Amino acid sequence: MATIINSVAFENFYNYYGRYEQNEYKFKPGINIINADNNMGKSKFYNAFMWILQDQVYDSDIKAFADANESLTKMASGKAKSEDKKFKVGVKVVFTNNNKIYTIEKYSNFINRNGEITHGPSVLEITVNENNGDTPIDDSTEKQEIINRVFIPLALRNYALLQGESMDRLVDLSSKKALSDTIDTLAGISILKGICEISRKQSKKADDLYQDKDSENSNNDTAKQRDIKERKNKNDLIESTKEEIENDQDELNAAKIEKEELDAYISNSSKRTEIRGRLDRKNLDIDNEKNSIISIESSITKRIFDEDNPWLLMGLIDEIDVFDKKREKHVGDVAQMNNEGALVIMLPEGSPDTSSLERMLKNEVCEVCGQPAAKHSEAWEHIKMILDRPKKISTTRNNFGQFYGFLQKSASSYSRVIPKIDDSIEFVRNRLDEIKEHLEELETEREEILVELNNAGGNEENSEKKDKIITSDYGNLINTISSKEREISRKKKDIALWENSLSMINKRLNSYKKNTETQKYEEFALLMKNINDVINQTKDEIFDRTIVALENEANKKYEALTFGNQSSGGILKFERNHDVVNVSIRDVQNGVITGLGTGFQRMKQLAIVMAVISSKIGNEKKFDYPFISDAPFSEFGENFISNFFRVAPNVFTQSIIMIKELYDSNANDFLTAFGRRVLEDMKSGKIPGTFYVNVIKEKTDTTGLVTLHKCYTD
Amino acid sequence: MNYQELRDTIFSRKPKYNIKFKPLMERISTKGDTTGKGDFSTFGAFYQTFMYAYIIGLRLGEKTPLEAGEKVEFAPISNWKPTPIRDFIIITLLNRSEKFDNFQWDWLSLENGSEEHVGNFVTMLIREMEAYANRGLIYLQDKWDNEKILFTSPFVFVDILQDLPYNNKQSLDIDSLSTNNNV
Repeated sequence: MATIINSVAFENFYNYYGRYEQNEYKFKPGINIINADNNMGKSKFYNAFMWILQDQVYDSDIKAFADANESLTKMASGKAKSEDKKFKVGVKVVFTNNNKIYTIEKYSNFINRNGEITHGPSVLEITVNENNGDTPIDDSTEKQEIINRVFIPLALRNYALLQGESMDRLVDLSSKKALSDTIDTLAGISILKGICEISRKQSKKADDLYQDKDSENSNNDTAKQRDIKERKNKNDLIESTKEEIENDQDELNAAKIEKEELDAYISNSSKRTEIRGRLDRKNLDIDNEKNSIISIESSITKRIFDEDNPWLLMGLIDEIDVFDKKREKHVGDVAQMNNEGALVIMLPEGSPDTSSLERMLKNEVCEVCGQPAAKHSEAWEHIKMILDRPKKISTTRNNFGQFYGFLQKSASSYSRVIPKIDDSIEFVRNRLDEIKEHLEELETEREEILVELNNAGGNEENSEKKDKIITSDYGNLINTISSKEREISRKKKDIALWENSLSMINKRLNSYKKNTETQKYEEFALLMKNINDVINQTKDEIFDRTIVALENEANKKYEALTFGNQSSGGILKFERNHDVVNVSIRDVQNGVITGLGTGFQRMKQLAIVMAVISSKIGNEKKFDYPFISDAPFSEFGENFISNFFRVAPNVFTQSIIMIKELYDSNANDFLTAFGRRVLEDMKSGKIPGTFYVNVIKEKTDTTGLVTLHKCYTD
Repeated sequence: MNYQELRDTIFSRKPKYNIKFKPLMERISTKGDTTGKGDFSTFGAFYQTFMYAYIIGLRLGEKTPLEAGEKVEFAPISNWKPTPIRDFIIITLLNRSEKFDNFQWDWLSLENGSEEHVGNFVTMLIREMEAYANRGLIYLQDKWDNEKILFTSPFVFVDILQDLPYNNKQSLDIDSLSTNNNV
């Protein structure tokens, strides 16, 4: 009955722009990796399954699952919405089960009328291909049957579809419901539980009947009547107190679990304080470097006009040199002119003479260019300016040489500065590059500190204050645990006393003479009680055996997943306490290990999921469906991920993993070194499966984002 | 006219630019200071942008005289800062006084020129300045319209300068340097 997904394709679904053919992922049994950076379609991929299976999608805006039918517009590609008039938003999954090939397509048609976007309802189409013949399924009930029973059955869906955070909820064996669901999945004891309930009711009914009959037959016996009344009172009291203990026990368990969670947290508190100190210092260094970058970048344009070193004048040294020479020459010319007392002002060769200029003014025509020069026009004024130029010796000198000297003095320092401007620019460019490189290093170091903090149970947001609140919560939990334990113990003592007096009453009641009919009722009630006891013991035994089997299996997986880690992950210990199971991590001396990083905690959970999935009832493996997971490794190191790839193919026939840990946006192949090793293992057949990398066409905001993909294992 | 009067006459002038460059001038002069986000930082004042455009025109060795039409006037040259850079710009103009478009001004003739004559010279000097700056603004506007990506770099105005040729030398009497050196 295994399901294998052959392909998944998208049409204009979120950032998967374009037709199905352009966005098709072909999968094989084994591990199928979709490696993508943030915002490149991992969760959207996951949403495709959510849409088909549950009519829901995860809405990252509200950080919760939303009704897919209400979210269709959001699900449509931003590019399709802005560029296409008519388009389809859809998901197509092809899978094989029991030699039949099923094609499921879910879609909605969109129309864009001048920017107003409307869409039809979502449509589900399924065809089945058997013996090379396609049969479309028309009946909607039958369609749902295929999705809920054939594709991925409802009861197993919790284990088949995992988002990073949902794992916590899934393997929460400390809640009665979650545990009983898991046991049901593994052992199929829901029928037995039904029998238990019937037998309990029957036993109670038989006992009530016997009590009634006994009471009827002893109406005249006052002492016996009193004892019967007393027995009823005691029984009621014992029953209600047992119910109270049950509730107390639930509260006690909840408090113990919460305390266990905080144990790891509290024990790492001082470590976190130290790490936070380093994080704060690193943040300060990063801020300083960022400020330096801003300061340099904002000073660049200013440097163009820096008074002492103006980049504006780069390469213009000749201007100063020529000016100096001209000035020197001018000083000489003026001296010579003063000596000779004469000044001849020469116009360039071929220039009109004085009489020509006067004629031109009179006739209002420029004889040089032949154009008219109306009186007082710009051209006419120009001719007049040439005519009026000083032609004779002036006795007073303007002495402009001093002005030239003033200019020369003002700009003279630039003759030293200009040759160095190129070096100065180069220096600033290099300095900026250096700071940016250093900033990158600091940010990488900061990421490492954050991982450390994460492993010590903290994150960037939780402050010292939160640590204090948690310490106070921890104190309250310890008080709750001890007060509940005292209460339960007191109530149990009460029950023991009442049971003691009940047995006295019963003894007395047995001593009263009964008639034959009453005796028969009594024997029947006793028989029913024995049957009820046996059935309950059987259920408990199955329950216990399942837990033991689960514990063994989970430990095998846990060992494999944590293999090669420097610190030991310990042993998973499953303890049944009342109707729940607490899973703790123990060392070899059975002491509780606390303070393990979040990675280990997640591995614990993953081991339990794998144990559930790989458990067999008889010879039949209960779980033979694809394991689809979005970002399950957000807390894991390379070693954990590597182990997962090694172990997973033995547990899941097929898994589809959306992951970002193998992605490096700076590498040509978009892979980290670790990613390349995984790919090599896949190509060499060590890890069966396919390897896809999502890339984006061009950087843009989310509305225009287009995800493309490359298959590395073709 | 004495040398102080010449200086005052030049410094009291307010050069103009074509009104079509006003949005560009405003954008890269005073507004949009978004440093630290990989964007460019602006020049301090209009006259700095004008001086920058002038140097572009000079380096290109090209002048585009202002056409008839609406022009925008801004701060008088006396207010331009830093003053040594302003003075450097006057130097580059004086270096070419014998090659002005409308008239060739010999320093020696200026020495004996009447007030009107010198006044005319100053007018021509400002027109030359405007013509170089106008060419520079055309160049900048083209970059702004067609190579917008350049303006995402804080180094944009440096890059533009570094990419320019040194055609200013063509209108400079470089020979005078070697001649004199030889002497």
